[in-house]
Amino acid sequence: MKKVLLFAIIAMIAAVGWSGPLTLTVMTNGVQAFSEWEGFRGYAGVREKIAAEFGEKYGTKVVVLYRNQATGSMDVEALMAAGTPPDVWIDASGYFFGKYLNEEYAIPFQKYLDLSVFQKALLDIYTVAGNVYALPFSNVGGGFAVNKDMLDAVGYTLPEIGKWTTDEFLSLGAKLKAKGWPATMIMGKGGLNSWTKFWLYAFGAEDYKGGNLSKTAINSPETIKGLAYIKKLVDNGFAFGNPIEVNDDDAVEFFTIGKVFSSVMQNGHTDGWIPEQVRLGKIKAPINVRFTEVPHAAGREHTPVYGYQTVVVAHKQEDAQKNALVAKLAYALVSHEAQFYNTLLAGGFSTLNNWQPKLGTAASQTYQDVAGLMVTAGLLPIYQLGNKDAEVKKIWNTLSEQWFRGKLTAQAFLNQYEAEANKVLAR
Amino acid sequence: MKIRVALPLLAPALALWIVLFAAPMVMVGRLSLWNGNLVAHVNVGLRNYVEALRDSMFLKSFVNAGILVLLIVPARTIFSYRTASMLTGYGEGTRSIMRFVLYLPTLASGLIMGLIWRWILAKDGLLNGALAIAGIEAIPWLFEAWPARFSVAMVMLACGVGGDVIVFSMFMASIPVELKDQALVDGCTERQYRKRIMFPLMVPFILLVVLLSVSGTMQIWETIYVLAPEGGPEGSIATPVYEIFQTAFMFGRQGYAAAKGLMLVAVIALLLFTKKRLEKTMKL
Repeated sequence: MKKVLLFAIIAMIAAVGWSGPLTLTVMTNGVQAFSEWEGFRGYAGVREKIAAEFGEKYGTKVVVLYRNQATGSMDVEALMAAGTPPDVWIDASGYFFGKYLNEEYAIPFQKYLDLSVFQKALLDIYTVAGNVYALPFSNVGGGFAVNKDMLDAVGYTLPEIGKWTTDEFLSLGAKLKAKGWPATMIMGKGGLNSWTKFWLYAFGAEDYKGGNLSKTAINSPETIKGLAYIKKLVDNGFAFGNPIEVNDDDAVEFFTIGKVFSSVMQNGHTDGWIPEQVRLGKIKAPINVRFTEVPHAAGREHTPVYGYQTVVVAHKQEDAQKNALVAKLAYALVSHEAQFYNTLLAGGFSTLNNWQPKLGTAASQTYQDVAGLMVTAGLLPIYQLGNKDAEVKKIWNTLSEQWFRGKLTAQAFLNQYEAEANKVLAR
Repeated sequence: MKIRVALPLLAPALALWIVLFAAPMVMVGRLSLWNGNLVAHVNVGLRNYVEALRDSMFLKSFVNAGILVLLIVPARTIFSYRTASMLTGYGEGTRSIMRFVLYLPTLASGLIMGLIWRWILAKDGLLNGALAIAGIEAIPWLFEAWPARFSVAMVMLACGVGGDVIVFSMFMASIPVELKDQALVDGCTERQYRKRIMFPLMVPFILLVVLLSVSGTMQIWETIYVLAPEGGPEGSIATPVYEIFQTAFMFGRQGYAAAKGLMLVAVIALLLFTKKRLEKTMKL
């Protein structure tokens, strides 16, 4: 009997001893293949490679899980509720991470890692009360795309970044109009488009102030000035078509076929679409495009450009040693190696200091323009509103559409928006 | 004893009813008391219902649906009733072909019809092209509130009439032939027969079709989603179901959407009750 008991105890100890290495999980979005590299599994391939190397180096097993964005399967909430949250998760910021960037859920990376390698402006977006809860992996940026051929035709030299004012843009608008070219896209279909909203930021408008996301700050004299400017562009005939009938899809279409002088967009839009428009026979030769800042009101220094990041968040646990290991894994997933593939093949911008590659998709002039802009003009903050984002946008869209149609004054539009949006934001 | 016999016979249908209707309804009821979704949630009692009653967009969606009902239901009912009534004068072969042709658009999903109509109603689309030939200025079908409402009404008429014609034809066919023969022998004209005999017999069915059309109009969403995302100009064509869809799947508030859904069920139940009362008052 004693022998049996002894054997059982030894067997149990052996079983525990042989239960395998520590397993860490990484949850990421779906597999996206890089078309330029046939057979290679895109980001997923890079992440799996990094995970395998990490596991080998630290004697752990790293499992990569794929979230199906289309069906919403295996999202963080579902895994949290099941009691199996992923150790590290990677996704676009803003929509998914808002409520997790706090002490309760996320590892404060600055306690475990040297974060000086990252661009400070990007880290600041994810810093709450001095704690950095997310590491930026890829920055997708945009700027004010302008048609250089039209500029040359009217004999206008593009001012240096930060020197272009809204007043000057009006005088350029008149010159372009004389040639039959609308100066810009004002997008009001379904409401004042977020690309058009940059004309509000040009006057110093802000969506939120001081990181307070529980109430909007857009109801301000600066926004009123911005709205008046948008109206001036439309009334002077400097806007393309009827603003309530055009949106961002139209902006990309009509800008890339040379029908309008400028619009906010990403360099991915111009780099991808202009060759396509040539192929479709809509234009004979590619148009010459540069990216710059949206002109700003006199007295202001810059209009920020927009960018959103893919970020990596790590789940905080009781075990401090495990937290340190998980932080290292998160760091590996945003490393120079991972970012190299991203910038080289997918057109994403580096989030690291002093490292902007000039290879592959990163070699284009427009990529370099936008990369420079993000540093000089600054980035518009990304707001971690989660699902509330769509709700406040709906309010904004409906009311701004009424303003576009002249049914509401600018002040009434902003007052109503403030009242309704704050109800959602405070919830 | 009767229950003992009836229950085994009813069991398969009852089981399906419980699994596919009763249980989901109970779950929706529970969900409507939560803030969140089925996985992660906090119990908030009746707060979702109170919020829905103060939700201007949700309330506006009923106004939108009311306008769409006025634009769609009378036209749809009159047209389909008249068509079905007209078809009774033809032989079975012609009737079948006509019914098939009219029913054809109903077979396509709302999404497909929405896509086709978006192309027809586009600013440089087929309809404006035809108007231009006639020298009429282009109409912003999907960019102004009233044209957008008329556009939805047009699409729903094109898609829904066929089904109603089939239903009316079926009910008309159920009227005993002897009644008509008798009326004609008594000196009734065809017109008098339709007006004085067939129509009163059809009233309960007309009420049924009207009820189904009204409830169907409140539930249009995929056509709107395709025709004019964001619920059309200034949200003018967003119906209650479109609002519920947005709340659940775009704003991620499944609990709140469930409360809105149950409120819609209550409105439809009220319509059903009104129909029943009406039938009673009219002694149908």
